[in-house]
Amino acid sequence: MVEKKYFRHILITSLLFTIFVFIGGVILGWSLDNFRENDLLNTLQQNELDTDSYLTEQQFLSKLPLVERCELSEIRSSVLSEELRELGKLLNKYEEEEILDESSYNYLKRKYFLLEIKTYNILRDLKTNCRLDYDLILFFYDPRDVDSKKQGYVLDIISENKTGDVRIFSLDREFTEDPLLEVIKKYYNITLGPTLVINENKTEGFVPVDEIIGKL
Amino acid sequence: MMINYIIAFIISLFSLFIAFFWFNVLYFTEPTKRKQLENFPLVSVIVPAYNEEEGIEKTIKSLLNSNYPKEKLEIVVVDDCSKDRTLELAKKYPITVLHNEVNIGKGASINRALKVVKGELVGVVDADSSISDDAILRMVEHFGDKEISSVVSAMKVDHPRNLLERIQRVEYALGILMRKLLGNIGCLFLLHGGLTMYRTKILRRLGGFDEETITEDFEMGMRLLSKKYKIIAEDDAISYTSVPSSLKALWSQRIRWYRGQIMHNIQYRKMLLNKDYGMMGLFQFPLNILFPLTLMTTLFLSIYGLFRAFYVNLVGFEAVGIDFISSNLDMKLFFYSLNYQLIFIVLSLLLLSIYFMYKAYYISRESIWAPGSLFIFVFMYPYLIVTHWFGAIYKEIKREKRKW
Repeated sequence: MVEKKYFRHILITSLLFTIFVFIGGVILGWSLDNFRENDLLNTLQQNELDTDSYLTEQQFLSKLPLVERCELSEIRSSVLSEELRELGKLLNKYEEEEILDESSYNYLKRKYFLLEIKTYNILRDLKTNCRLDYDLILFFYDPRDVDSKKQGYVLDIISENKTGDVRIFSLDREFTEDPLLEVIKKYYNITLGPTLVINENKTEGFVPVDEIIGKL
Repeated sequence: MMINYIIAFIISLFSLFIAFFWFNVLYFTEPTKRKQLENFPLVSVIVPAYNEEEGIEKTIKSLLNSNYPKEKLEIVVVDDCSKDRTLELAKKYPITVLHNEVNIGKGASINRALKVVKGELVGVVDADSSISDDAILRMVEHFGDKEISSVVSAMKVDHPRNLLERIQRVEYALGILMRKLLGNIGCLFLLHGGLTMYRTKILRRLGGFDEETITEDFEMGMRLLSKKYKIIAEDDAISYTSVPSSLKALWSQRIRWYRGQIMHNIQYRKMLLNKDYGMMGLFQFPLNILFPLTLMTTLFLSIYGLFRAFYVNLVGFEAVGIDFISSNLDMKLFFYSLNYQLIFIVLSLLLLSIYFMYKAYYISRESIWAPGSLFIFVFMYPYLIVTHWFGAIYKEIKREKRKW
């Protein structure tokens, strides 16, 4: 039978073990959160570099005749938006699970949206000037809206099933941290989520796969 | 962080602390040692029986086969006005048989026998249980220590036949370990009808068993602890019992047990957080209340998680049909979105649970290789237990009549 002093000893030891595991869990969690955040940031920075490099390239090539310039530009254009969509899915998942703290999350999201818009601008200009054969979709969503979620799944299928060359850019309609987003919302007169801007044509509400394919 | 994560985090930490507590009890405490007997005291074993024609003979035979000196063993069967052949079968054996003219219940039947038995020690065995040859001897060897009021045997499931019985075998094996640990820290309140032995004079002094309750053994455990008597478990004394073989029978049994626990927790609430009652008051009694609450909260969280996953999948299927599955098989996304703080704690808890299961099997000497029932016991059975708790609480709130 255990005596009182042993009881105290057992309680303290158990508490220490629990604290030890708790701290271990917290340290592991923090390290992984940092890893996740850094990984996102690295991918964002990589994309940012790609975009900047592309812009510099465009400046450099500006002296060339349009046909030659377009030929050279087309080669790199596909690289620009490839990783962005994956990044967006990761950010959305973090938001759903509330994994990152709010300030880190807002910073990453803002950086992500800016990069998206930057890339969208480049690709839109390229498409107009060089008549390149890809489709551009701007997707405005509300994070807690069911139709927006459904639209997200539909766009995943569109981008994964390779129904032609489709570049999708998702923007959180409720994100108010960046004034540029507000300008874009005003420009396209975005009032609800989901809203799709497919090749500069706006469609409000949920649009199923077939209908989107019809519009491409 | 979402509220469900915070609750899950708190519950996991709390459970981890409790698991570490028992881990430390296992290593820092030693069970009371048995002492070889010079004089064998007279032992009376009471077998209350009501409609037990199926098992009564096996019970009596196991008692008669005990290696405890025959002249020092008195066996008393109390037939509580059975409607079957229990009385007739019991009378075939060289034992004392008492017959109640009307059905008076288990507690009252034991008390009736308690008035006539001559033993210095008295054992109570249910008529659907049997004991190992040396069980009585092993238990009696503890009564050399004057402080001990009761000794509980290690109760195992008698020849489990179906899956539900095999799952209960795991549960009973864990019960053997738990009783041993509870006994080590002076908090053993879980007495049972497999075979529990008492000092006769203490039982008489306490006025015998409660005749109104539906869990007289649990009540006796609480009463003995409330009077600061010492109860221990002897895992070398084996008793075997029949367990419910259907979910319906299990439901009835557990509702009775848990309603009994609720009733007696309220009855002995003076012990709660009362340092006069040592670890029982400060640790085990609060745990008795927190344990079902923790189980229930875990069930709620699991249901919430399942519904959330179901809802997400439903929305996905509605949007894109079967393609939703392939578009969501993204391992990077899956591993990146896990909450590793919680997973680390839950994994530690799981490891400790596996260790406890191993110890339980080791102590109870049950076959360790029962992966199916072990898996169901760890991952699914707790949910069944929670539904029983809900049922018991609901019936108590509704003040439904308590019955056997």
